[in-house]
Amino acid sequence: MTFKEKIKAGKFLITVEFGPEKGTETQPFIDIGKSIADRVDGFNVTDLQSAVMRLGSLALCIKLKEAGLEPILQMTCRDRNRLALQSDLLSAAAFGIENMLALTGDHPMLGDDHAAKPVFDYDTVQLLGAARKMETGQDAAGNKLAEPFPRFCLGAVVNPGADPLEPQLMKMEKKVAAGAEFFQTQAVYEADTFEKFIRQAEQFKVPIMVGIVLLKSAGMAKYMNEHVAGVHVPDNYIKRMADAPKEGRVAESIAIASELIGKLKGMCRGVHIMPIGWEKHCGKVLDAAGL
Amino acid sequence: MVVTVQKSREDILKKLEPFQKVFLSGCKSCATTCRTGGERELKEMTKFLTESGKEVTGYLLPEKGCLLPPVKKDLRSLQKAMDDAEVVLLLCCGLGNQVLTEITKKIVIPGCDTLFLGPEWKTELSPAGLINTFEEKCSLCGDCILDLMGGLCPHTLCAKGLLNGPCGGTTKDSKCEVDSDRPCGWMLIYNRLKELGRLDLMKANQPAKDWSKKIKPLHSKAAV
Repeated sequence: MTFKEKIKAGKFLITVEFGPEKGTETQPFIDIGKSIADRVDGFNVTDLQSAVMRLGSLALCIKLKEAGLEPILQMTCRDRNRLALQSDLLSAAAFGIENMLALTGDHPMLGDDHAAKPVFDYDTVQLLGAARKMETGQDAAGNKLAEPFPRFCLGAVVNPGADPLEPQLMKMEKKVAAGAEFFQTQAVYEADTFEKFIRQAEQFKVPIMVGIVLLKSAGMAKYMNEHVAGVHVPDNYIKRMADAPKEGRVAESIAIASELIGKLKGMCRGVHIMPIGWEKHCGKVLDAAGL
Repeated sequence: MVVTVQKSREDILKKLEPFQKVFLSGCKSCATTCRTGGERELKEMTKFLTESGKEVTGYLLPEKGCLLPPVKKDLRSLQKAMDDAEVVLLLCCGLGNQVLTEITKKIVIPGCDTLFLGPEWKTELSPAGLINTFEEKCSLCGDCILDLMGGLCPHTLCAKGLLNGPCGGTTKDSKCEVDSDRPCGWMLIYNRLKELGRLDLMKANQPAKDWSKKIKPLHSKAAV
């Protein structure tokens, strides 16, 4: 079953995020992917995450696809104008990749080359709209596409911890109207925050997968609280990571992630695990969470 | 108003290195308000250049440095000073630079960087005296939708120029991910539209901008 078919079938969805390196190595991701493929419905590949120049999302998605895995192509609006975005959608489709997650993208000022020109020719709503239009045989400008027309399974993101939440929900509604058929959220650490969000987002009747970011240290948690919008790691998790001996940190992180998954999975349609460099521990997270 | 800042004295001297005789020019409009190229700054620059071993042959201070015909007229009485100079140092915007280059066919060194189009927004008392603040408010996009945005420009106030609402980078105190000192443009728009009871405008789908309206260089005509 494809990811799209699983969405339609009402299956509980599990996705794992892979972040390409600043280089050409792809084999470790393929090996990890294969080791958990029977339990994971899709592998997101980030698109120059944190606005850092590195291996492209499409390249790793193609490698995953060739290895028999189900890739989800992340596309940000930061680096490509509408011609390049649509062309990459066609390129993905030509390789049989139909899952695409639309994101705005971090500003180049957050990355490792501040002098880069920010593009943002399209925003996510417009990108989703263009992808849907391509399925009907037209590009965004209304020019005809040659058959066969591409088919996509389109996703988008939302930040449940945004304060105020209303602007996020307004944009979420626009993304649904533009064609988003699944959502993956920013990292969630508090069940009550997520519950408040879900209560309001339910009206859009779209599958939502809760975002789980593995805590790697107390410092990382504090950094996210300080610098990552809409993310709040409660003190007890910070303390648990701080108290864990160095060799026990991975185990503590997995324990926290599995507890969170246990609390949150009943409220939504799936779990999206973002390991941030700890891809090799995803299998253990799934084990611990009973997924 | 075209907002400018003076280049550093070090950069200016570097650009002037091959030259000895300099003609100075400023502007009584924007560059005077910005304190980058008014009477006071031209005098200060004259003093600085003289002390740095340069010879200032004269200076021009037009009402508006960006209007070619009157600047040309003003320059007539300063023709000798201009002819004596090897180079012109201009303390106003890029428009003034091109007007002077067109008239004089000399090298006109920009003594200022041209930053943005913005009104004089507020005047505040600081330990250094009264300080004017200029803020970028319009990106000259050629496709104005301010009526749909509560009078706040998303092309300009959002660092990413998003048209359909905020990204996920709004911090908890409604600041932008790019710089914790600047407000999230979309939170400004959201709050304004909420205040106006017009959040329906924010729910409307905005199409992507038509960049064909901004194929450079643009030109425009107006009857006199």
